[in-house]
Amino acid sequence: KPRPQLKATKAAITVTPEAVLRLKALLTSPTPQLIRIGVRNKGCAGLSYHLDYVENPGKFDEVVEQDGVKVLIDSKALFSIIGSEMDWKEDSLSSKFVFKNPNIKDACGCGESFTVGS
Amino acid sequence: STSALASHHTAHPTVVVFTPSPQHIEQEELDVDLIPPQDIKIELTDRAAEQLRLISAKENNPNAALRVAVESGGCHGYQYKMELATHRQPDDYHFSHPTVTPSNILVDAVSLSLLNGSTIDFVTELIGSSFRVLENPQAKGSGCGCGISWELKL
Repeated sequence: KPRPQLKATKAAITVTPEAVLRLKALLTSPTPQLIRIGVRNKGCAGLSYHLDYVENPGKFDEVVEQDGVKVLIDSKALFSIIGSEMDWKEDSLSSKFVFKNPNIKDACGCGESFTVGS
Repeated sequence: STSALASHHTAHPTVVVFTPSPQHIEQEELDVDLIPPQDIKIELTDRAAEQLRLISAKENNPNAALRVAVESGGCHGYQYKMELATHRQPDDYHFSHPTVTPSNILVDAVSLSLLNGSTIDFVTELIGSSFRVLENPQAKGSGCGCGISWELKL
């Protein structure tokens, strides 16, 4: 008897409603483009998040679709950000995407640089 | 056009609107050597001044100001702290962009000794936007990648 072929898959990251709105605004442009989340070797704790526009997804990029927005996760960054929650925070002086990342072992005081557990 | 964009990043020396009095510094026994007035220099980019003007309008307060301070801490020993302020304290310097106003910057006397000569910018990136302190002559190397923490040049 054949077993069911459905495989459970969980989104690599979740996106808060505020971040969905911001992403929608950033993705509204006449030329179709995508936003890719990656990490860079930067900062005192070793890694920091980086966002850029790309035209096409990379071969191994993870695609996350939620509430009508699509974001890509760089395959090289997947290991360090899987399970994170992406949020958008605004105050009177600044605005930014913040990531609640369960993999973080150590973070810099500035909140921008982090290390993941080995 | 690209030229208009480039000029937007242009920095201008700020106007020093207010300087704390040496009497006040002495009275409060603050451990700081006041910088001679002719050597005081804080630059502000046009886009940072525009952002300050916007904040002022949004707060509906012409006195709304960006307070830039230096604190001990962070991975490199010192870090910048920025917050919204509405009142000048007696030991504060008050700076403003020469033409784009209101664009108030407050720096306390102790912090200015560690900030003098810097440029204040407002950077917009895909990941977010924030005020930054650039080209601080007191800072050694590039500091922390985050641009907040830095090390003193000895």
